[in-house]
Amino acid sequence: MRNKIAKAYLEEGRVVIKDDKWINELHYNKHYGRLDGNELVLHPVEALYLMHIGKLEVYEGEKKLSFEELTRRFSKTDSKLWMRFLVYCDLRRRGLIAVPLKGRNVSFLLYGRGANVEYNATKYLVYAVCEGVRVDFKELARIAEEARRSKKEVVLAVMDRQGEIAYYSMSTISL
Amino acid sequence: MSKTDRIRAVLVGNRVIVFDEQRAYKLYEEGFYGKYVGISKPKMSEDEKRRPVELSLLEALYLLEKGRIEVVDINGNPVKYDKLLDIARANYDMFDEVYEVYKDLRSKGYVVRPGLKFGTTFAVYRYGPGIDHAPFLVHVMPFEAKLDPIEIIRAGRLSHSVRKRFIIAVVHPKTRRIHYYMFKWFKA
Repeated sequence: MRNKIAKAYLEEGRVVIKDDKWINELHYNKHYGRLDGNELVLHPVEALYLMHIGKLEVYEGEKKLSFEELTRRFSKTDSKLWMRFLVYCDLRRRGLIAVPLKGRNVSFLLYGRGANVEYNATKYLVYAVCEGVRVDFKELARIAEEARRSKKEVVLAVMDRQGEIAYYSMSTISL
Repeated sequence: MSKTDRIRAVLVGNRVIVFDEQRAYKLYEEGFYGKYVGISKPKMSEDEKRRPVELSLLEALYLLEKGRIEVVDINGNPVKYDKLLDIARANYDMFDEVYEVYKDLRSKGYVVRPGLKFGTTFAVYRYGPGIDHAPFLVHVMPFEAKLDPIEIIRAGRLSHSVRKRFIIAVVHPKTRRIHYYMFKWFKA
């Protein structure tokens, strides 16, 4: 591509890309964001990740925002933003395509390796847990049930206190 | 089964022993109940099986409930189910949950043995120790307990290193249904 770095704008708290060429590249080829009319709206963690790997610049009007600035802004409304970012980052870095989910939990839908995003549904429900924060069985049962209903497998992303992540699948079994 | 068919087990302190060697043998052979006193390996010579067998309180209660054994105290007086249950509760943390899981697995035809040496509540066999080499490990946890993420890793690691399925069992306090969770390393 001629310009190596995509340009996005922070508008009303949303990161949007307006250039068709980049929408094509980031959305259709790399599976970022969701379309809203003629614009591509990036999830905060997607925007941060693309900035992090040097693929995106975010502007507010004329002003270019730094990674730090954007992290601070997004964290104001989402106390778990950094954790979300770390997990997203880790999954992407492994070459996997994750879709951030809304809610107070840090969770994602994840495509199987080598899946065709156009034709395949997501295969996993990734749920992040953090060292030092216990999860109750009620919550695990809820996640398991949610995954069962949507025919997905549960993957727990277990994050240590420095942000290192290990993945474990969790299945409910009947013996 | 008539009452005389019941195998006599003796409550010694809070341990339950079948002293009659032939009947102890029978009990072990029919479902791997108990442990030969002084022997600690799954494969035994026939000679080594001529010994008393110690039943765990779980096994004793289960067999008592099924009418397979009768339990007497050291004076020969019968020990009722409720009395034995009290003893079990007093001597084993979370006994009710552990017993429910035990019964659930036994009722499904599994051979359920202690899993202490693997670091779990149970080692569960389809056929029996010394016959199938890949038991799965079942660890009972209280439903109210919260799972430390470190335990998820430990569970996954353990099952990987001993090449056995590691399962956490929790008994739902309202429905009494047992939930079994399996954790495995996920190659992301």
